[in-house]
Amino acid sequence: MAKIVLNPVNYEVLERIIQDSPIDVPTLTNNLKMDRGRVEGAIANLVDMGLITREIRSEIIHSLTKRGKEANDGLVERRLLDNLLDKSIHMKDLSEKTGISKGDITAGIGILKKAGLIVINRGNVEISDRKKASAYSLDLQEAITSLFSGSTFIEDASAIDRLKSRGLIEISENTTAIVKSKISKKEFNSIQVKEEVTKLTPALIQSGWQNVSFKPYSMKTKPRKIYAGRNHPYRQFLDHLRVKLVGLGFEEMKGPIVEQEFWNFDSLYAPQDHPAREDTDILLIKNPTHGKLLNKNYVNNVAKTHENGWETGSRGHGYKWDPEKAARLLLRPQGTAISARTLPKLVAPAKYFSIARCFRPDQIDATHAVEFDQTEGIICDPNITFRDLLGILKTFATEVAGASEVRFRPDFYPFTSPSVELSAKHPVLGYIEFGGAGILRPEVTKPFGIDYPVLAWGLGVGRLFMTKYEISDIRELFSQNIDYLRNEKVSSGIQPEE
Amino acid sequence: MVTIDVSIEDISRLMGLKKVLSPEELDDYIANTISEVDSDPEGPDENGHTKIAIDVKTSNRPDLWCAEGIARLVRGGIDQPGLPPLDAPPSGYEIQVDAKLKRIRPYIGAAVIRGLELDDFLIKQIIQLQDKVDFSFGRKRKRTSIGIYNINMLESPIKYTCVDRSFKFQPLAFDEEITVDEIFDLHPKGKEYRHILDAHELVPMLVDINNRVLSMPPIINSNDVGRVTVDTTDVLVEVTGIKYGATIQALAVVVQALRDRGGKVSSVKINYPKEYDIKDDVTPHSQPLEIEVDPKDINRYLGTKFSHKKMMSLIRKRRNDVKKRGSKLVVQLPPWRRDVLHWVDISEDVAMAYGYNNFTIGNAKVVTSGKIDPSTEDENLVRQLFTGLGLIEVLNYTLTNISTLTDKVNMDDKIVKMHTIEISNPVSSNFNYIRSELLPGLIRFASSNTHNEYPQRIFETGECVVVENNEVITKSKASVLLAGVEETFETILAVLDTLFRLLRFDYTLEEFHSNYYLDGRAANIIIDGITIGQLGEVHPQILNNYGIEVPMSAMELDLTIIPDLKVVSYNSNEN
Repeated sequence: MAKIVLNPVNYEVLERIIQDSPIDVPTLTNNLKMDRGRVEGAIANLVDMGLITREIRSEIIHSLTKRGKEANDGLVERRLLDNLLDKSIHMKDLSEKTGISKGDITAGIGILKKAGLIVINRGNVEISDRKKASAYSLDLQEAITSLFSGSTFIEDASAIDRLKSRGLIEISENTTAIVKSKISKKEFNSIQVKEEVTKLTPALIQSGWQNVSFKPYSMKTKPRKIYAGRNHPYRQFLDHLRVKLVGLGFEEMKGPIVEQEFWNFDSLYAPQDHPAREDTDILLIKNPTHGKLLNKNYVNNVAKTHENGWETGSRGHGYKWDPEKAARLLLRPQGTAISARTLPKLVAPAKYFSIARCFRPDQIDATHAVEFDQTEGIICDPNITFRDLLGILKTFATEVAGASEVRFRPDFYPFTSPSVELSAKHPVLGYIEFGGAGILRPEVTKPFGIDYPVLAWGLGVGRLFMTKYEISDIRELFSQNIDYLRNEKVSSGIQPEE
Repeated sequence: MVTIDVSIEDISRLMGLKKVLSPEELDDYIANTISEVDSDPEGPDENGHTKIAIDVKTSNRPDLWCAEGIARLVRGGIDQPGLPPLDAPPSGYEIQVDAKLKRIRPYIGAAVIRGLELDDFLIKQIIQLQDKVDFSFGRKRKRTSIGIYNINMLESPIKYTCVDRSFKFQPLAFDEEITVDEIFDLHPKGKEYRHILDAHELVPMLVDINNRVLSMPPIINSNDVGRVTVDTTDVLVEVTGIKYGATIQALAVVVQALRDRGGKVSSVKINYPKEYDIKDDVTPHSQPLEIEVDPKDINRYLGTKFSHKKMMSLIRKRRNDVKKRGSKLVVQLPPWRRDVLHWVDISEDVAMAYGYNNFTIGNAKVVTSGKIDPSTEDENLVRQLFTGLGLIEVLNYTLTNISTLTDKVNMDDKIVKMHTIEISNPVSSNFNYIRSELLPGLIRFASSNTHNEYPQRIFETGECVVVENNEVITKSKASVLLAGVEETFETILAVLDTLFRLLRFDYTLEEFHSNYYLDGRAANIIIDGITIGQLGEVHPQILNNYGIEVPMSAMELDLTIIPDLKVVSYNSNEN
């Protein structure tokens, strides 16, 4: 056995246990003249150290209830029988002649009738079996007397059952801990005593730590909770997404959330009477209702492109373009407005992305919010083709969604041709619609002096977030519950775990 | 996007297939019509029609907003490449256009279709197409609207004329003749669409030679000629509109759908008066539209090496014809393809005919270096420091309501409204303002958590919108809220001081009076003479307003005006 070190309290308790082993804890405590809590603590330590055993012994205790104690003066049936032994008594005289209360007489008569010891003859109660009657309930009376005079256990199980069923006694269990030494006197003598401390203090570090023992911690105790300072799970997800897109070579773009229709629609070649520009499909602002168009050539170029195609090779939409309508302000309904704002500064080769808060007048439910984020961007390179667009989409599917396979399908955007929808086969979600893309129409790029293909793309990452964090209702993103934020899991990257 | 109901049995038949497609097969077949199946099938009903919804994603091709049009395009890739039949011999019917319509609703196109065999299902399909074209392509009938009549009740010439508002006729679903004004006031369609004509004294009216009323375009048909039933076999289809091209296109869409149903199409002569800049017209147009494209452009754009022959075959699969002209191709498009504005639209037809999934995926690498916007980077720096200080990040909506911004936080709504944006057409009164600051949202957040353990130390950074000198500016702000029995002016100042100490920003405080904060426990935060934010102990009245029972201290910073922070604002009028 390794060398044993004990603090003085544990040592004293152990010493006493070895002396009296086995001993019950109350007696031990009494002998030690020590606080019960300290004794129990020492016992727990000594048990943990394997120096003693602690067993629970239990014993059954029989004790009289209040009514049981009253019955020590005589059980009601016994008192009735004693009165009736020499004479019969009329029912109506019973209480008066025996001195038993009326309520008890009813119960006593019931018991005796059931036992077949009495008959009632025209109101007269008389004993029918004198021999049996003289001994009836004497065993119960005896048990009560015994308990009354201090005994705590009655051997007669039948008497106990009957007394219990009549509510005259209670049966309880009394447990006592018995401790027993596991070591010999000799082993005890080799034990070293050291002061036990709960904390390593600066003073102890300087001197004295060699002479003390440290109170061990229980490995089962739960510590208190710390609510860590932390990022919102969704914003953290967007941070990870940003890092991923930067890793793929994309540069971030930003822009205003109250936007001119020019950047959201006109520059993207949506005709001014397009249904998506109606008041029912966008959110407008009260004051100011309009911004100011920039005094730039490209604004005129966009106007002419809408009217007659300008130099873009297009027929144009064929209507009179209204600058007032283009200057109207709205809440940005699509992130593509930010890409549009980047077109005047575009120098190939370039790859851009934005993560943009967008607003649409949708009815709010589990899958629709008035506010949501779009991830979108543009790619330009003089030599890029539609086939390369498909390749880039596949890269997105692999790198961002963790997809193994992709499927393409024709799609429609007013500002791209051809337009393509991307479905990605995700290991958890199966095939999901993961993005949309296309080559910006010349009507969009040429007014900004761009003569080569520009690819526009958008990714549906919301589904990845909701799966990753097991959220089914989009409104939970904006949870107003601090406990959710305190306790929601943290997770790296953007892909749901498999 | 336009959603239409079709019958799977019907559309399978229209595609010329011998079997009825499963929903999954249907979804595959219609991919190239820029459509997808959007619902689970329902049925079949007693007439053998299994209903299913299809989302047509293109808003530019009304010809695809019906089973006939989708099936027509699908067959281009199966057994019917090239232009569909467009011929329309003269019907003998003519329409005379009144010069006064030039300023009201100038254009009309019409066709006669005979030999239809209609049933309830087909009538519903026709009405669905009419509704979708009127609503979306026709801009709720303003741009174009369609009318269909029983031709056998009409005699040529038909007059497209104007009448004043006392003119009486019996509109659809009414028992008696009423005036135009009464239709505007009483008839559901009158009430719905009168705004299109309200500006005009005179209103358009279609009547035949016997003064029998066809309809008042674009509002309502008459109750007899304008009622199509299962007994109707021969119809006049007309489209009126404010744009010639769109009018012709909408007519072509409906006529072709009826032709696909077995109708014999014949043309109507439109006689425009001399005041118009267009000459007489014969509708529907049988001549295809033309666009010249260079196959080299298309191959370069798509990254392909299609031979002329291959490209021509692909173009035909999209229901076009094509012929060579030197090194170029002349593509002939059906009259409903006015969505084709540029050769890139033909390249899209080529790509779809080839099949997107049949392309060899390109591997061009556009080599660029990625970059997080400096504005985001510095905002993230602030977020990082806040979390390091033990604060929990909150995410609130950008949209809010005036109560959260004003009375809940003791602020005068006149002052707040001066710099805060109100939405003029909100979805809900809970979301009818854009937040101009973050703190009110954080206080509201705290009010939802009074049953949770304190202290609650939270922050948010994010976009706010403010009006400054009539300019609308998107700004990134940061706000911190500390709630708990120990929180004071000192504890929030400690947060600010730590933040700015680590960022090496020198700041001073200046006493500040505001309804947000307790007097004597509130300060403006100043850097280089610029007030960049406020901090203080939240006014107990605000705590009472929200039923919050612990003290709170808070701050709000405008990150975009802190001189050494690269966070910038975005003005809607600048770029």
